Amino acid sequence: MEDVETIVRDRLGTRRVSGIRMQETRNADGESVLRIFVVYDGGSAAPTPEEMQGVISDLWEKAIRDGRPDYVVPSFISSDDARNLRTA
Amino acid sequence: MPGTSGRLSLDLIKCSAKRISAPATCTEADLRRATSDLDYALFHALCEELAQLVAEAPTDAGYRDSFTMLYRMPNHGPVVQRCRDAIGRSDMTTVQKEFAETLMTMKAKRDLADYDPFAVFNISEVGNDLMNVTRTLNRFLAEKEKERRRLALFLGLDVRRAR
Repeated sequence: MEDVETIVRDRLGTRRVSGIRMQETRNADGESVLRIFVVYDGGSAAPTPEEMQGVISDLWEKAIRDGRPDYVVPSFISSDDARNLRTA
Repeated sequence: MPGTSGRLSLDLIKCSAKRISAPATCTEADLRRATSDLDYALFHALCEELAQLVAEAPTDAGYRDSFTMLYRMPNHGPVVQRCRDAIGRSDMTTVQKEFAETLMTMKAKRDLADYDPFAVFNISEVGNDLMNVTRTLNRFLAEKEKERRRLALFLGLDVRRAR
């Protein structure tokens, strides 16, 4: 989990990331799915598509290297939306 | 080729954008369907590339059958497994790897959107996915034809039969 936070903050910069929430679940086939919610403070802090892709690439590289989880599912959400988020 | 823009993949991106174009009235169903559209946009891009192998005479009945057969060849589960293989290969381009990573991510999101009643989707999340998938698809379509085909064949063929 700490590695995930490091990957995200290294890519986006610590100040632009106001929080990272994670939710482990399983899909209908029983495969492990790690949802990662990267929260940013709206406006100029929003990541560009290039930055999002960088995070996605780094997280998949790690997942394949570690052999788990089966799926990493990063989501980039504004802090306004994050208030309604239900995560474990 | 199906689709008003000549590519169903690009039409599906437009569908997704339309569903979330009015955030104030956007429903949970809109967010889920928009997410699903984005996964299908990438999946259909693969199908389109495979079918292009016989697309020179689309009105000919024989070609039409072959076109349909190639278009329908990719299956979601095996495609995702092949995406994992593609990411680990040194001979794949950055664009090809990014396509595989985004397709795997969106496949997982579509599973949640279509089948998990407790999954939560937000407008900012889906809007960001729309931007990212649009970028991924545009970069894929800007690749050389031979590289698009190579990825489509690598991901879309039934490798158990091909080996």
